[in-house]
Amino acid sequence: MLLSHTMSKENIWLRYFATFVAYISLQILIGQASMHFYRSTCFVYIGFFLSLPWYKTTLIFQLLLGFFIGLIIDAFYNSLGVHAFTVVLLIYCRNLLLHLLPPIAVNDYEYATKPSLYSMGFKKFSIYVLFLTVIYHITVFCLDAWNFVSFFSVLPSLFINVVLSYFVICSFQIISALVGNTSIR
Amino acid sequence: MKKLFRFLYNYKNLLTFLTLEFCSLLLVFNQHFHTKFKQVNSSNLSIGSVYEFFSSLRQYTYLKENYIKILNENAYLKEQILQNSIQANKISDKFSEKQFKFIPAQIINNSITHTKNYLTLNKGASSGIIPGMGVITESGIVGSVKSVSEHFATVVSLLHTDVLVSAKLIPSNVMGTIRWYGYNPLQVQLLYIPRHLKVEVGDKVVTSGYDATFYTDIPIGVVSRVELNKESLFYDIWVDISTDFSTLQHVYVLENNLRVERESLENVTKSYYE
Repeated sequence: MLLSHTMSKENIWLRYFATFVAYISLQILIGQASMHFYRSTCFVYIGFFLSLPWYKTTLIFQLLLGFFIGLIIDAFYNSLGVHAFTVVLLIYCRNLLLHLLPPIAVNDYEYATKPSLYSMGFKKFSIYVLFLTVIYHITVFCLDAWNFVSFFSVLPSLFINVVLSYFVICSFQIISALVGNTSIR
Repeated sequence: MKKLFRFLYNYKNLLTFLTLEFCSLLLVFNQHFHTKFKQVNSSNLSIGSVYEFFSSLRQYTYLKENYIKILNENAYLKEQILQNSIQANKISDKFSEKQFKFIPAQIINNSITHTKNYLTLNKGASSGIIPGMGVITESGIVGSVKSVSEHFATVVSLLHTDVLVSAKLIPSNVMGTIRWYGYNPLQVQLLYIPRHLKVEVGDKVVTSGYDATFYTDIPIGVVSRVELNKESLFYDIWVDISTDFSTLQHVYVLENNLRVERESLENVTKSYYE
């Protein structure tokens, strides 16, 4: 069981690695399946960056981590730099947004270290995820295709992508909370 | 000096953010880095094997379909052999038969949703694939090999906005250039057909064989829409692609034995007159 009840430091790293692998697998599966139904793709793995710890981890570390993971994702899509740029932007925006909508810890007096569906509540979490998902998809679109296709012609598929990633991220939160009981807050 | 350090320390987050964004923008827009970081693409060993794993999961659902497809193709090839043996008696042109070899490969990653689409194949340098080779299926052209590792190869798909393919129209034999304009994976455009010629809906578009990547008469598609503006010098022609990119499974990589000879000759001629 990777998602064990003890919260030692190694276990936390292992758990984040497992989460990352799960998200990337989900992304590849959804990408392959959605290719047959409509001509666009959603990025569900941003759920991983949305659930990274924020309060007690320095922002510089988060940004560097985001940059290198972004490069790994770029290797999957043959798009050198596009996802690295967008992930760094995402993490910076996330930090600003989390100061406006802070997740609350169990004792109700301090901030929770990790934003999740349970520490933020449904309303706050929805705003958080939807806002950042829209930013992510628009930025990737602008960097990838900015002079080939007009922006308004892709708005419908952008809408589908955002809604789909929102549902996947929320269900991922619920499932991971059910699997590892202590990781809720 | 102290003030400078304090300033840097106070704005350390913002400065890191801006530096990283600048670096990644450099990576995106500077072509120099694309050649330097060749490892960062899906022909890389680790990422290739991840894609291979997922495609092997997916392959099970297509087994029966593929079996029928391969049977059909086999039948078609047998017919061709029969025809060839009849023709061979008339013309003894042994050399052109041996010029192209076919290397069968399987697609382990495919995309049609971006504006720059790539495929990944499960064969690489160890099977004799080198960058620049053409890739086709039984129904038409697919793209050309971009980079290879020991066991994998990345292919630039025809659905890539930077790819130009030399093509010709079939009854009239006029030469033009095929280019994809993004968004619709079912259509490409045929460029540079001058306005004094006749083009009709339903004309076939095939490769011209003027570049060393493909041989002549590989199907590309069928003309589906022709427009001619009053002022323009060339037609606007839309072509329906004959290859269905969303269900691609097996492809053939074309090995041209005379490629080096041909290109060096063409380069010598060019450098002499320029």
